[in-house]
Amino acid sequence: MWFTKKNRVDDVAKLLAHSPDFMCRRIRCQGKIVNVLFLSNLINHDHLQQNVLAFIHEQKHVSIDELARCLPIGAIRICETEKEMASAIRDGWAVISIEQEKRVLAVNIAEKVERSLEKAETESLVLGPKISFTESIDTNIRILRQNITDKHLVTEKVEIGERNKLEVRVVYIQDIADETNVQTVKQRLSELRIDEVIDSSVLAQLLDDHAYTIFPQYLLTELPDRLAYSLMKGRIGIFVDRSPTVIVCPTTFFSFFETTEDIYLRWTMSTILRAVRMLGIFASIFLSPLYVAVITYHYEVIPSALLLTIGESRSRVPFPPVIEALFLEFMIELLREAGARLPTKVGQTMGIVGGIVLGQAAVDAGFTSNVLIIIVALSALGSFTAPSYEMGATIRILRFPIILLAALWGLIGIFIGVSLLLIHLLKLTSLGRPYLSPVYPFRFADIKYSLIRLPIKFYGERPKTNRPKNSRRFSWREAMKRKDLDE
Amino acid sequence: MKTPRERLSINAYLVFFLVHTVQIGLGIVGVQRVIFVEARQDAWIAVLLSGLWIHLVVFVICQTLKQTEHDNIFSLHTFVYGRVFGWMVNAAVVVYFLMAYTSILLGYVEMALTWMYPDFPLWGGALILVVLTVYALYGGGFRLVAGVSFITFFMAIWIVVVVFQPLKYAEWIHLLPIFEATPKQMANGVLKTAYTMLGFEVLYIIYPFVKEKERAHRYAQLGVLLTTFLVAVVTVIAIAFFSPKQLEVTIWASLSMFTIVKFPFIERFEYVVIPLWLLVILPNLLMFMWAMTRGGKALFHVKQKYLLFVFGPMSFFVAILFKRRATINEFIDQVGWYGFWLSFVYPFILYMLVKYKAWMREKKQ
Amino acid sequence: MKWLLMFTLLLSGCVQPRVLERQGIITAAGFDKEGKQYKGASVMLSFQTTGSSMSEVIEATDVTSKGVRQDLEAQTSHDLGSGQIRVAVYGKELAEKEGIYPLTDTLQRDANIGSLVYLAVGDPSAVDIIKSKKTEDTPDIGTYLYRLIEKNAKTESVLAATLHEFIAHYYDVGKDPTLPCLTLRDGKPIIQHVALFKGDRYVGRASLDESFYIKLLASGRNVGIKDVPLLVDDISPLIVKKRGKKVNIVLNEIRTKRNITLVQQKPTPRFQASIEIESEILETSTKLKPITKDNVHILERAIEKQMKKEVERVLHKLKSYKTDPIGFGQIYDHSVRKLQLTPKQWDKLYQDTQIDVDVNVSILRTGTID
Repeated sequence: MWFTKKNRVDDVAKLLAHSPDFMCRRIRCQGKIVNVLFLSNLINHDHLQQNVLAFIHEQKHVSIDELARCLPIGAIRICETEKEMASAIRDGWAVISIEQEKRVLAVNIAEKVERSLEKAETESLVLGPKISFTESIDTNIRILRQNITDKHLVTEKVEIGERNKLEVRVVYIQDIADETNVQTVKQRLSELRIDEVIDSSVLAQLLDDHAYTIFPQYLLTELPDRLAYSLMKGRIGIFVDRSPTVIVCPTTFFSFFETTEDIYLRWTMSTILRAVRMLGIFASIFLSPLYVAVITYHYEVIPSALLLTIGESRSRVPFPPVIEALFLEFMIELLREAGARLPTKVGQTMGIVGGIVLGQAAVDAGFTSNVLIIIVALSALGSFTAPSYEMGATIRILRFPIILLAALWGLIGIFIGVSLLLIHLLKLTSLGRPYLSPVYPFRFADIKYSLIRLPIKFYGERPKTNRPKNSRRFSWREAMKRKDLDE
Repeated sequence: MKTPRERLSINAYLVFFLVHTVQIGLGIVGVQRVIFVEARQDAWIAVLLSGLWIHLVVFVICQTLKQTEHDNIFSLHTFVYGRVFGWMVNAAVVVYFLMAYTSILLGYVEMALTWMYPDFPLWGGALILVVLTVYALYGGGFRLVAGVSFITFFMAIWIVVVVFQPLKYAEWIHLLPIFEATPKQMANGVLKTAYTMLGFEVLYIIYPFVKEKERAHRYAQLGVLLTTFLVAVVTVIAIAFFSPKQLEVTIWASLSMFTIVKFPFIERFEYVVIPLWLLVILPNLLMFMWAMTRGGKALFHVKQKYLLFVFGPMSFFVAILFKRRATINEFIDQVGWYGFWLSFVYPFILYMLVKYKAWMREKKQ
Repeated sequence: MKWLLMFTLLLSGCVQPRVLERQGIITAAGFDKEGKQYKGASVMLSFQTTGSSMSEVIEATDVTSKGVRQDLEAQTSHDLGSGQIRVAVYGKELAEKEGIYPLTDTLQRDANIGSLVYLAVGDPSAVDIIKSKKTEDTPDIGTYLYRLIEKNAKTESVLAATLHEFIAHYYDVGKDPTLPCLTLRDGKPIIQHVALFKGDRYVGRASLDESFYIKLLASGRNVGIKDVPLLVDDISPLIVKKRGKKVNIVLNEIRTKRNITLVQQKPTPRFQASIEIESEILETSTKLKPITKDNVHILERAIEKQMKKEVERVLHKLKSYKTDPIGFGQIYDHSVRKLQLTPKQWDKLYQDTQIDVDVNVSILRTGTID
């Protein structure tokens, strides 16, 4: 195949869908004709001029081998077919071909558009590093490498997407992460047959063990420190190009309620905060169903001191308690959803105005009782304490079926809901690993990693839930060899 | 039957929870009256004696299972009785599990209807529980049963703390004089207690699923110990709390004791306990249904998950035959009677038979 | 599988709801018998949106007690709910002539009603007490009566009288229930006496002063404040200036221990009842000399003497009413082996029973001054 003929260039152009920004620069140099092909929108023009065109021009002897040896560019590649060339050009590379030579040289002079590093938005922390991942996988890997200097860090590259190719990196610490887990991830990625994947959250759903459940099975994080922490504890991360969130797997139910701040704060504080969070989640799921059950069926359990308050507030409401509760829950969801779709500043104002005005008006008009307003507001707050946005949304949805069960059969209905939930959670797995770990299968040593937090000296072992190959982190006892009192 | 794969087996400590939760069910809610009628104020001694007996039985069961390569009751039966007769005995065991399942179902529904929903149809309650069981076991399997019993144990055990609140009204003099019951009364008391502490016979079936078999025995004993302790405690408290004649007419003594419990944020604690009891009987329901299908698999060589759809509706239809409380109680007593023979007496016989068979086989070789 | 689940949940249908504000929540009920007619009244809460909720009393008369309930239902648009009932008051006449067990049995059988309902006797009429409008700061008479009895049972000399205790003592051989006896003073219900029962029948009443000893012996629980009149002669070394014959000392009980044992079974039962009271002095009616380590025992012995006298008087009174709220019979029954005491046997034995009382008082504190 000779590349001198005009129609060869046309072939490539055809493969590139006759893109108007496709350029072919011909240079005559040392009696040879050199073609430089590229998409002008994708490349860095300074780079092209100084390091490619000028360089070729100054060469005494022009051949592909010679150029491959001397070009002052990091990433180069030898291509042979038009297809390869076209795909390289599509990635923002420039292709250099020389008349009479079969092989061509592709050089990377791409310039990618990316935003600068910013503070984390969805997982905001008070303490600890603020930086968050961006949409560029190269930047993200760079951030990760700055976070983990361990020589065992592996970043394996996998390409997915049959039409719209996407670079995916599986990262883990080789001598910590469980091999079966790594194999499972790689196998699932390689078995994917899909035209394109838009974002890491989509990839996470594609890798799910259970497609029908409402629980998220993989943690998505935008915090490099959280990822680094997870990797060092034996988990696996999956970077996806063009996505600012990283998939962490395998994930357990309780890890959705952890934040890295739990580690940054002192142990007493974070144990209490974890308890508050758990209580908030619990209240968020069960408070309004309890209200519905008690008001509809079991007025006996209301303490006499509360009876009048509740009775008075209910007496004007014309609907049964279920309708009342569903109506108010719907209103809160509406406020939240509207707030999320609006620009930040407007959203905040609307939340406050909507919350106060609507709530007050609803009570005045006799649509709802003010006791229920308190309950619904509390449960909304509770659901926002979940550090993971996905889990928060899940919890908000979870209470609707339980409200219905409560309306059907009162307290027994709620407990039927609890049983169903429990059974469902027990059946779930994440990457083939039990979802409810460390509660079931019970791992006592791991409770300190999920439900409570102990003083740092108890963290000498990595959590068993992740099945780390090497579980030893440090030995407190060795570090603190008994000193005498006054030494 | 094949020994289950490594992935499906459970840690030995879970045997504790399995045995304990399968023993504690509806019995503990109303056992006090039944024993008290027989053994009067010495009822708690009857409970302890019964507990001792169970410890012995559990020991014998574990010994039986260790004896030969057959480590579950179904293949043991085929080994001991031959193919045809063994099949029949196995069928009897499966029927017992079916009845035990149905009696728990009925007992709970009956209790919930009496206390909370007098106008709810019994078949509705039964249907909900059956569907709940089938849903749980479909795609769940034994590990799920173990998981449910482990977690529900912790979700319900805190009630024990509340049981001590009725002590405010206790009159300890009711327990005196000790050792007044005649041996016959005591024997009857032990027998009646046995009914409520049934369930440990599932050890015959769960044994092959345990990873560290040599430790399973120890944990089973611990589970029985806790059950005996709890039943004894509620019996003692009920005897002290109620006056003798009052206890004789109180059907659900434990629940009636909860009617005097109150907290600043909740009154009438029994309204919480009855729904919560769903979590206590859930492991029972799952365990018995699972045992049933396991036996069915041995009998008919059909997949367990298909058997769910046979046994589930079957127990539902048995359950809806009943309407009155009196007949329900009779049925539960009947089941208790069979259970007593199967779990308290039969293990000794089976042990002898297995021992003899093994000895015969050795001699032949 | 999921669909099957959903389907069943819907199929099983729902339960008849009992929505809070549709219930006419009864907080207290009273029963009387007038001639052949039963008369019942109950306090029903009615919730007002304005924030000043009211209670309403509804009344009915019928030949049977069950008929009363029906008549009451006919008088309101709400469903009468008994799940929050706090107090049940029975008229003295009803309690005296018919016994209240059949009525309490209804309460006990109903799963809606808890065991913490307080029972009381209304003297002369229960309905009048329920109809009273003076309820202090509580919104309805039910709550007021509940708090009244609760407080007095907890810290004062009224024996607790929950439904559970009444039934338990009713069933217990050799122990009789007592209930607080409510009367109206200026239209406001107060506890003036304690009603003594024989089985479920009202047989007489004891003053709160007497009830102090009954409660002390029966339960040994907090009995509250006791006013002890002492003869001046008994404590003459302590007196500063002799005036009158008696000195009243008000004691506040701190800790009490009581112990009743059967010391002799035949020919007649004989009990040894010992009471140990640790107390502090709240008031004295005349000025006394400073009470010190050396002379405190004089005071203690005098109080013991007086208390013993009073206890014996109370026990005598109980015997004359043939009622045994302290439970000597129960102790007898449970101390003697191989004995199933019947109420009749005990009735006979009780009259010949001898009870030795031994009181031991120690004064721990005398307030902020000696």
